[in-house]
Amino acid sequence: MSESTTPETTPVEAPSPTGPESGRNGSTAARWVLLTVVVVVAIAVTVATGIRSGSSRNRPDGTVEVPSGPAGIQGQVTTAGRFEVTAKLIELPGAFLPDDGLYNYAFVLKYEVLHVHRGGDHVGKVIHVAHYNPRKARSKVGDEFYPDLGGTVDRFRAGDVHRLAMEEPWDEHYIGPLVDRYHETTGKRLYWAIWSNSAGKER
Amino acid sequence: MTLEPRVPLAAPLILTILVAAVAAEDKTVETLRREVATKGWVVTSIKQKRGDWDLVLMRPDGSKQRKLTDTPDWSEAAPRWSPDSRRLLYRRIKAGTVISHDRWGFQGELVMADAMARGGRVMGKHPWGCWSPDGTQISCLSVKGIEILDAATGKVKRRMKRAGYFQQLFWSPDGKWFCGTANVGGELWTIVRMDVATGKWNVVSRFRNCTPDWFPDSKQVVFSNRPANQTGYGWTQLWMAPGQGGQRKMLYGEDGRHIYGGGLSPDGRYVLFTRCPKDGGGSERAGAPGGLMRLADAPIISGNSPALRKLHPGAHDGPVLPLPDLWEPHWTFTDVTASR
Repeated sequence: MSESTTPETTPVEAPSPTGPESGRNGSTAARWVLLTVVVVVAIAVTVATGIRSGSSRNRPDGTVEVPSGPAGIQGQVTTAGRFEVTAKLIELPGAFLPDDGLYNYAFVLKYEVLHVHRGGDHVGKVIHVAHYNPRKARSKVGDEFYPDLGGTVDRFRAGDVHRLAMEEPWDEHYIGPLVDRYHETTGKRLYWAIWSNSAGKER
Repeated sequence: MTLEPRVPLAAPLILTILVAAVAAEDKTVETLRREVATKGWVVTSIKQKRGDWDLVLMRPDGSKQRKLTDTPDWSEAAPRWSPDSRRLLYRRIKAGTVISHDRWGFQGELVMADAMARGGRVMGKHPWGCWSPDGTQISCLSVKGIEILDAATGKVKRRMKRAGYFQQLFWSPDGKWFCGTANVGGELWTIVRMDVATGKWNVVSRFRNCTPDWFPDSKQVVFSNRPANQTGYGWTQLWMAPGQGGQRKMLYGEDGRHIYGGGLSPDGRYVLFTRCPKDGGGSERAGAPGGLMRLADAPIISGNSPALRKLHPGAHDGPVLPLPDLWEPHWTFTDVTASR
């Protein structure tokens, strides 16, 4: 049996400002009014902050908005490869293979392109991107064979937004095992991820 | 009536049977040893106590070992004699580098030397450099594709698309085919044969295969395979299959060991391999115990391996000739020690 991570709490009854004592004690009433104002203001601030945070990427229809600021600009993302996009990871098509330190591979992920920074009109709305050893944090993924890889993405989660520097065709930049669970998708363009920065999460 | 007297009688009987069985096995191994001891030479990489790998020459039974290289600053790896056994190709990798058992062809540089590894000439990176049948050309595999170089000048004479090949590309002795490990569709680790003239390819073996190499007849391929019909991670076994694909056959398996580095004798009657307790061919560590068996005795299953024996009820127990810890052995029948 798994344990709940949410501790149980005993509900505390708040004293009612409209109780029988309120009309007889003016200072008590004032304290209640002040407390109510503080609570309302706190709730308003919390809600406003949440809405603002969400509105940076989410439209009312639930789609993800392109970050307008310099989201995800770290390292070589603006210079590596010929293509640079901000894109939402649509899904994880099954589990990654184990990272046993012995075998290395690339794994194809599917993205919805939110903004093309470099590479022009050639980049489609939906792209497939091969990531090397996807179980590893991008900051640690570069090795003897692919020293130029990097980024701030720690792990891949569906819905996350990434700023990606890429090359294409993938097999002119990577030679190794490729796990492509979209292999039946004909005519797709497959990019090779060089630099992968985190640019936010879907709400 | 009591059974007590039978126990002391049975114990020596069982002991005698066991001793006889071990002696019989020793005898078959000894017969195999005598059979191959003078059949040319094997060159292989052996890890030195100081940390680097050197090339070592030995008889196929592991006797008469002698170092061909002795370079503390460099590891010499994956040697292969030219088809006429007059020259040797190997890789030179900086000492201290962990050699990858399946990506070694991308590491270090290709060196061409005489058959005894003398007068080595560093040719450049040339990944997966492999002799053509006449020794005048070398095939290489990189992201650029398959390149065929002039062995004398190192210049690229021809370039082909690599299809899905990503490692371990080897040219067949008749010159007509490549074999290697490839991505095919969604299936990685597939052994593929390619027509050198046309670039057309076919699948030899699907699912978790690697380290393929040719039989001398260029019609069959030996490779390592970790089949799915095992519990847990499973064990890698040595298999063979026709180049055109079709019925594959296990040659050697042993639960508790991963079998890699399959290399045929020049007459195709024997096969060398390594038995690694951890996955990989042993290059990441200090090599793995070598083994040699007759193809005629295949399939052989060693150890208890109960699940494997159920799958291959007709398998033999041996003989397997044990060899020292090594990696990527190559065999010639030519007396490379003679001055030629």
